[in-house]
Amino acid sequence: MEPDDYELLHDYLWGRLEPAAREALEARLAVDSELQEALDHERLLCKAVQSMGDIRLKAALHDEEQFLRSEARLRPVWTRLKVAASILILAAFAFILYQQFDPGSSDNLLATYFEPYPNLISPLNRAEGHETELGQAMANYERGAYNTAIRQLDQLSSASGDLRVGFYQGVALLATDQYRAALPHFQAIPASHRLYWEAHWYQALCQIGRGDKASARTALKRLIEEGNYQQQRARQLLETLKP
Amino acid sequence: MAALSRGEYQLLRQIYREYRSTFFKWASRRSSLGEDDLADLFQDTLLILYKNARAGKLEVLQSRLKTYLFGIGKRLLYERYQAQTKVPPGEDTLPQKEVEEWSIQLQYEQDHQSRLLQQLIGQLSAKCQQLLLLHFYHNYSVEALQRVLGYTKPEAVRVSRHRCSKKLRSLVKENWSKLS
Repeated sequence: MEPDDYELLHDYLWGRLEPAAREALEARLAVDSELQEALDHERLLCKAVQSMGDIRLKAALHDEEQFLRSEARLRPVWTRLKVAASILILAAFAFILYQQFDPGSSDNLLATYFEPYPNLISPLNRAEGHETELGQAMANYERGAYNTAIRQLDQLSSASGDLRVGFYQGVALLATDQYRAALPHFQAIPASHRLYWEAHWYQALCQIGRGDKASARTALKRLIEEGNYQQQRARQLLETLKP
Repeated sequence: MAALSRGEYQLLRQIYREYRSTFFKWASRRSSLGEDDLADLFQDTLLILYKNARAGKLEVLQSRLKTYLFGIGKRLLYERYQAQTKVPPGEDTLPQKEVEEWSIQLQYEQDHQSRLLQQLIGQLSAKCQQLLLLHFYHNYSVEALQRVLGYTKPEAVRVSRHRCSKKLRSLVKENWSKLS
């Protein structure tokens, strides 16, 4: 027996030998009893490995079956969870779309129509480096630092009772979506005050922010009919607010 | 099919998942088998498919994989579960040559000799078992064995394979009287 004979026998059993090599081996097998015995052993060895392979592969497929069955048992629970999750996601998505694309929503109306009233009460102080408390408060207002401005204006308004300061405080509150807190500052402006119609406009925006569109429409109608501020935009806004 | 013939047996899991449901429905219509028997039938069908692919009998597959698979299933169903089969196999949709090639005995259907051989293989190291299995059952080449089992050289694979085979041969020789 040569070491390579085992390879040869193995290939023979698997039917991989070329015809010439197969015939040569069969000729040797006919006269070589040791080789014939080795072939019998090799045949058994092949059978042993085939048997092991079949058993393991069958076991692997059986495991796959068990896995698929356990997956199928879990599927109804998962399906329900998936459906619930999908509905939630869709609802959230629809809400976001509604918020973004509904032109009549409060947020969108305010985003479209609100602009901070320009600083007309301390323009000189700005040039002088905001030495006064009012100058500092209005500088913050102009920078958009509304929360700081609100605190500073609140102190000044309480101390001086200046309605203009209260007006700017209202605008700052409106800019930070504090509609309920902003409203009294605008309502406090009397009809004789120079900022009356401006206050009227911002008052309407406050009502929109609070979701009280009926009050907003009343305020806007009056502004359009009697006022002298933002009348064209008030008309557009009123059109949007039509029930 | 080429991948199966190279011994990429992992693909069987993929095939199992892809065709299980269709196969079960198809076999249920033709028999009164329960789920366990259907699974057994499908697993044997895949085993025969794999063995034929590995033996190089399906290299030029004239029919689609699904047709071939169901063709094997139809034959097995009739052969094994005649009593429970509602519809005889009738005309096979595959060429006769391919039909003949299904008649491969599955070795897990064990007789006394097979069980004894299994015990002998069990005496080999786990690595030897794996090597013999990959080479002699899944048809892995020396290069593939080197890659999969992490040998540094092809020669090392050959030496290991020789040692493992030698060990198994000696076990077979020692137990020859019981086996023959």
